[in-house]
Amino acid sequence: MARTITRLGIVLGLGTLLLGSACKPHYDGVQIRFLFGDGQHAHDRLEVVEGQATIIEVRPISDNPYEDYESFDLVDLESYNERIMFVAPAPELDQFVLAGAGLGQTVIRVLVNGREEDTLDATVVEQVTP
Amino acid sequence: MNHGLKPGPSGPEHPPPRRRLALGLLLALAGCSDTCNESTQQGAIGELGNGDFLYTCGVGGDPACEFSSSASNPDYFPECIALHGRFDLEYRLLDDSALEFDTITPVLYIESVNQDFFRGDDDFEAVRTGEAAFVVRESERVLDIFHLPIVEPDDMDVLARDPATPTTELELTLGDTEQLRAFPRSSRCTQLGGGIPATVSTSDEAVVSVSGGDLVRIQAQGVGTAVVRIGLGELEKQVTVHVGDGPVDPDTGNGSGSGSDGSGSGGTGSGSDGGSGGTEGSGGSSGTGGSGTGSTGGTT
Repeated sequence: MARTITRLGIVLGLGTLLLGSACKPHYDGVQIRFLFGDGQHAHDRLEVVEGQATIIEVRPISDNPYEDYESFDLVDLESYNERIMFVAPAPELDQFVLAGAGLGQTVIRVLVNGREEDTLDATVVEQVTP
Repeated sequence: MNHGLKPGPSGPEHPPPRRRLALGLLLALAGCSDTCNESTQQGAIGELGNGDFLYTCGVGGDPACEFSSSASNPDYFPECIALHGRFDLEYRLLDDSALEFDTITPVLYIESVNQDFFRGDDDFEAVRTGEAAFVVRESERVLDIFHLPIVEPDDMDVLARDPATPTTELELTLGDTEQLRAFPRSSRCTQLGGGIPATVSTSDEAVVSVSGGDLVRIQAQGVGTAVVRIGLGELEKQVTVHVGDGPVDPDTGNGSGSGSDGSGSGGTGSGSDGGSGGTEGSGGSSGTGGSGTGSTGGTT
């Protein structure tokens, strides 16, 4: 009898765990959109011109078909080297100011709800004066 | 009993109309105490539209303040900044800004995003041609952005203070001090900003002593003529300064001239076209003697 109850408990626990994970979004990258200013991006890299400031919108993508990220899932970006790529949150949620503080390459950490989920390569390219 | 009911318009959370009016007046006065002394300058709206950037001129030769009496109230908000130009920016949130803050009086500060273009964190200096951004920050957050181009000036003007006219020649008497302003100019940008500290040198320190920086100061030290070179970065202009040893008498026209050769004081001048048949005075070719500065001088 006791053994049956234990087994039932394990099954229930595993079921709860599975259900719990099925109800959470699973990170599968970010969607980046330049809202203002010149810059370029691929799925894993960003590029801005030195001296220029841009605004990007960053939305996390979930590969869980049953659960997308919601507006209350907070995205944050952090630059490893602010002297190359300056990154700061803009007034609107999910929007960030990127600026080319100095020539070179660095990495930007992507955090969702405080947890590091990804890194993006960041490049600041030379400004060509006409 | 009023359990669970929200207070009506005249309840404890809403003062009666008369009290509201008084509160409004108090708030208006309090607002005035904070803002009434602020600059009335028409700034440039930030690129995110949350406020406007206000320009404060740098050194005395900032073209944005050429006709203005106050550095914080320039003639215009510059479209571009002269290379090596200095200036300051401030930021004023729009009254109807929808931004929310954790504190009543948020601390805002302006940063240059790239110190290779605009150097400094209080006053700024343009150190490289191109275009670069400033950001307005409140703690970690960026509230606004503004880009300013930096151009290399291709000309300059040296102006006397009163009247403010281009000056290539000055006449001083011993002990006089003249202040000049040197403005950078750009054919590519008519509304140029940024004052460049002037460098100054004199061909003869016995005639005039000079100092540069915000303003160009020229002090007459001895009778004669000297050439003063005024530089703004790569640009340079010359001003020829003649120093005489005394003031000119407007009635008699008597005065002391000074020759470029320094050979002595000029004679008494009698007319701009000089006297008849007289020999030239020994005051030299550019003497300031007499009533005129004519090269033929007065009769002797």
